[in-house]
Amino acid sequence: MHPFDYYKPKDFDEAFAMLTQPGKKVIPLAGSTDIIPMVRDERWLPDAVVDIKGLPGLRDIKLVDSGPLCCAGQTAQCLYIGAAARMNEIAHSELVQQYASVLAQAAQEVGHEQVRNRATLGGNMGTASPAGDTLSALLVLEADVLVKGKDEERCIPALKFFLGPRKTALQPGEIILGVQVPPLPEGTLGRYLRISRRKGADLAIVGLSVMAIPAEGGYQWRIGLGAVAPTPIRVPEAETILATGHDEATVEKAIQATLAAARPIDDIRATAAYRREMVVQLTRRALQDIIAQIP
Amino acid sequence: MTKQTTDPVGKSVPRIDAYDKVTGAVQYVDDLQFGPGLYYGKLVHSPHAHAIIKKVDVSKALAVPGVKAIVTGEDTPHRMGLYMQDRYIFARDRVRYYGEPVAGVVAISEEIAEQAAKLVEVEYEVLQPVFDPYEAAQPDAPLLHPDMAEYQWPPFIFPEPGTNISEHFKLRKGKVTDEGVDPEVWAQCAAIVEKTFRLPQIQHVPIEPHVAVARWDLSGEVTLWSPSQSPFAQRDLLAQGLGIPHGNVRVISPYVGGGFGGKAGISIEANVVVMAKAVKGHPVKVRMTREEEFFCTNVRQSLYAHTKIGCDKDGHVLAMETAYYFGGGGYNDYGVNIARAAGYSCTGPYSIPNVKGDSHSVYTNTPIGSAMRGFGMPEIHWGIEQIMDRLADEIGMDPAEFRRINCVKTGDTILTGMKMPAVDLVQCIDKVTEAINWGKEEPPSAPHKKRGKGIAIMWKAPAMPPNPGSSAIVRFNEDATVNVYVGAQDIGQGAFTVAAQMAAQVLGIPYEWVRVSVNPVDTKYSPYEWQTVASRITWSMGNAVRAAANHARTQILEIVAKYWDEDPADLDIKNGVVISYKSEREQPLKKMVVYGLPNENYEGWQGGPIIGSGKFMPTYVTNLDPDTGQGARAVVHYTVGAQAIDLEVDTETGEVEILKIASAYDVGKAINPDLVMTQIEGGAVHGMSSAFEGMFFDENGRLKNPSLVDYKIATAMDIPKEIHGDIVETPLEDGPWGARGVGEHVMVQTAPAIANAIYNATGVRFDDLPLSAEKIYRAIHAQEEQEQ
Repeated sequence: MHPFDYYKPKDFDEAFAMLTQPGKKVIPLAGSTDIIPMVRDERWLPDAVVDIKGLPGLRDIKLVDSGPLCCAGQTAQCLYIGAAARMNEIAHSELVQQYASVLAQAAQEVGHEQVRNRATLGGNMGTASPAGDTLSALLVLEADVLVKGKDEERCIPALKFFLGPRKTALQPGEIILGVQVPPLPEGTLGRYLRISRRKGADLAIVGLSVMAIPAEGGYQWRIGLGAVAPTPIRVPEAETILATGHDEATVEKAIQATLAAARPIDDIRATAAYRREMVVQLTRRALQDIIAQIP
Repeated sequence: MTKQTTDPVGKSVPRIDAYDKVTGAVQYVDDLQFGPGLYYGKLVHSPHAHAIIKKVDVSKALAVPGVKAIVTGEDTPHRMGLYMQDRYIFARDRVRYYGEPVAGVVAISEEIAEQAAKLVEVEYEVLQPVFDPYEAAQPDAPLLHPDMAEYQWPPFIFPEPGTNISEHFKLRKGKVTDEGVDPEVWAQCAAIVEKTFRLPQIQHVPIEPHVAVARWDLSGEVTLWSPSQSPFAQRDLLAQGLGIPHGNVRVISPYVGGGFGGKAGISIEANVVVMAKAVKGHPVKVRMTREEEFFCTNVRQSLYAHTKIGCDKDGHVLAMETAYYFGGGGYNDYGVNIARAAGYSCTGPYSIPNVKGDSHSVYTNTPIGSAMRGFGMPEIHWGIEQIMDRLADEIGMDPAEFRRINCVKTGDTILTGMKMPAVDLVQCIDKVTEAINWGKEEPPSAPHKKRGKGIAIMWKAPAMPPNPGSSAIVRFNEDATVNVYVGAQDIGQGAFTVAAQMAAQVLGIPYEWVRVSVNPVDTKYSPYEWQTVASRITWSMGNAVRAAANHARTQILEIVAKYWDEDPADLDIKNGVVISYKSEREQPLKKMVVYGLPNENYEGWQGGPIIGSGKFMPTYVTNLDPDTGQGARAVVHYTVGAQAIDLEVDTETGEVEILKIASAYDVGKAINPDLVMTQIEGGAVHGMSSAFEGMFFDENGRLKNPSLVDYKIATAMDIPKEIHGDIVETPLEDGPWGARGVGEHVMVQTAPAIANAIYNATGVRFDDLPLSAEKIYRAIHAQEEQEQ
């Protein structure tokens, strides 16, 4: 395996000094469940990795007040999840289950038990695989991503964070601190569904996040898709259709709109054609599942 | 030693190695320490599936600081192989699969060896590869082994030099010529099904990838540490391949972290020994990565099968024609015997009066096809068991009843002319059909699901040379505890546990008094064992252990009989005490089994340390006619069994959920019923995996899924909701307490049983493996469109 240096800084000053060494390819490391396979396959050849797991606050899951950067203007508290929070910590967190159920469900689907004990939310986002389970959930939650560079912090909406396969809006030298999920009204319903070759230890062939948010006189819907486009995507066309109601005919129209938004490829896990079919099936199942819960 | 299990044969005593394994005390090869003199090696792999080697330049790699030696095909001029001596340890002149070892780099660290391996420069002239076994068998196919005529092979293998066919086994029975079964026979058939089936190569995926450490001492002694199913066969192959005396080669094999056939015979171990020869005195360790495990060790062969079977209106199978083409990979060393086994068992577990079978192993530019659990049987049963279902369907008969009518029964003259030894396959069918409520339609769990049940039956004989031997030693300690020595390996099946049970049973001592001296198995100290393969150990090693224990027992009874002045025939050993049924006297084994017993008034002593030795070798297997496959005794015996599966298919996604697998096997005698059940459970899961995964290559022969990311075996979450097992016990004439093997059989027919159940649920059939949710989904919907 390609050799690289490993650093584990205790504070941000140290971390950014290590991350910005001139002439060196340095990548931040969290759970390492993506980095190690990528380096073994010689697809990534870093000179060094900087383990962010020891940085203060990066493992927190808590409620925070609206800030100047993220969650700006919110009157209620936001859910903060640190970049180094493990998938199992997220899946089992009562706060996440309460404030961002769709994300807790998605975290529970990642890899298998051992992977979920190591893999982190920040890592899933930084890797930015189109198939990353938690990413479509972050899109429908309209989470904000708090990032930090040597000199400043900034907030990037999750909707603008994923730019392409394994490409994000992070600038060189920046790391993800965490995400902030804006508060959602009581009665919000969320569902993450996916299809994979095996029930455990596998990658999504299609991942789907759906949320129904109580709004004046009905529901506002959000639909996010994974593994069927170069990035996780939202499906505004389907959401608009559902805003008019969720009777059977409207649901079918929304499913067709979701299908139209998917641009999957053929790979060893599935053909594009099967992925399209599964977008239809999963969307129908998730919508029916949520509709059944609507009081 | 508080618990005392007397007469342990037939009882589910705990595994003898359980405590050490679950507490992590067991050391595997990679755990062993070799001190500061240890070097590490990495293999240089061919980047082409088929190419001529023009030039190998190691100068840049040798210049890397820390590199100690590099070996290439120049250093390995002799061909080697278990059956077909068709390969050099490192490729010379030509490479025949992507990943073939071309050179081996030895360095002071694994990292340096890996770095230097990338600097070995090899110039290739790329040749046209061939991957499909049927295509490779055609006269115009690219030839992989132009020198085949010069190779050596045993007399029961029939290669066809000038082609890629490394073995052609012919079976002719009844009204049949080389052209086929007599048309008059076909004319009597009310139903005939003819189909082509294809299976991809698959991998064993042991938890422990291949690893080997070798040291070539300056004195000429060679020591190899390897997790091996075949320490003695490895010694034999190394001694032959390297031209050194057997006594100079020592193979040490600690516990094996998963074998499944992949650690039978020889794989990278020979490469490591050659690398060690280049740095005499230093041990050299080579560990396969998971990726290398897929493309550079052994895999199961692919198969192209074209099969035609017919039956009359009452369901009697009258005729079969079948041609099997096994894709053996670049070297068919072990694989020729798989094709042979598939030839002499080509009908599956059925009595068919007219049979024409042709079974070939064929060189293909893919990884080396070799032994894997089932040894050809899962491959051929995939097609046979689906055709039998189709025939039953066509004549309107229940598929289970169809199998009861046609399956092999005790005393039948089977396809090779051999009389079928005692088995009860009908009882196996009865057990599994009862276990899943066969014939009773049960509702699916949701409206978009369809539920179905399927059955498949199997047979398998140990596939091996006619005369593989086993031996064993039992040695008493002062307190009458016993050490049993065997050369068999425990690959999870529980061989050491049953060895202890058998020794205790014969010696009349509790199970807890027995230690099995096998960790490691060591060719320098352990008694000979051919190989731990073919599900032959309980039977063959068991007979040797029983003989060794009997040898010790006889000595003990003679000593005590003389001491008491009685007839040994009146004596017995119970719970560690010699008793006389005549005089009712008692003599504990303690002390006397080492110190002997005094004569009257202590005027001298008799006896001494008790050591028993025993051996077993089948002596009755005969040759088969090369033109017809006929002979008096093709194999030692067959194990038979049935599986029935209850499953649901999600018609919206194609996903299959197995609700229940019921298995029943005729094991002759379950020496340890729990261990039989664990085989049945493991086999059901392994069989599932074999139905849903395969190795896929690109157009250049590079494996596309050489890792567990995209080669998916069943996980704990995928396994059947319920695994049910029944044990049938029809004693085997020459089995210890009647026992025969069951290790491989438990997965042989799982894939076709699943396919038959999917058909029952959905009306859709599959000729090719692997199955996948996508494939099933497409087939269901294609069928729906057709109906519309």
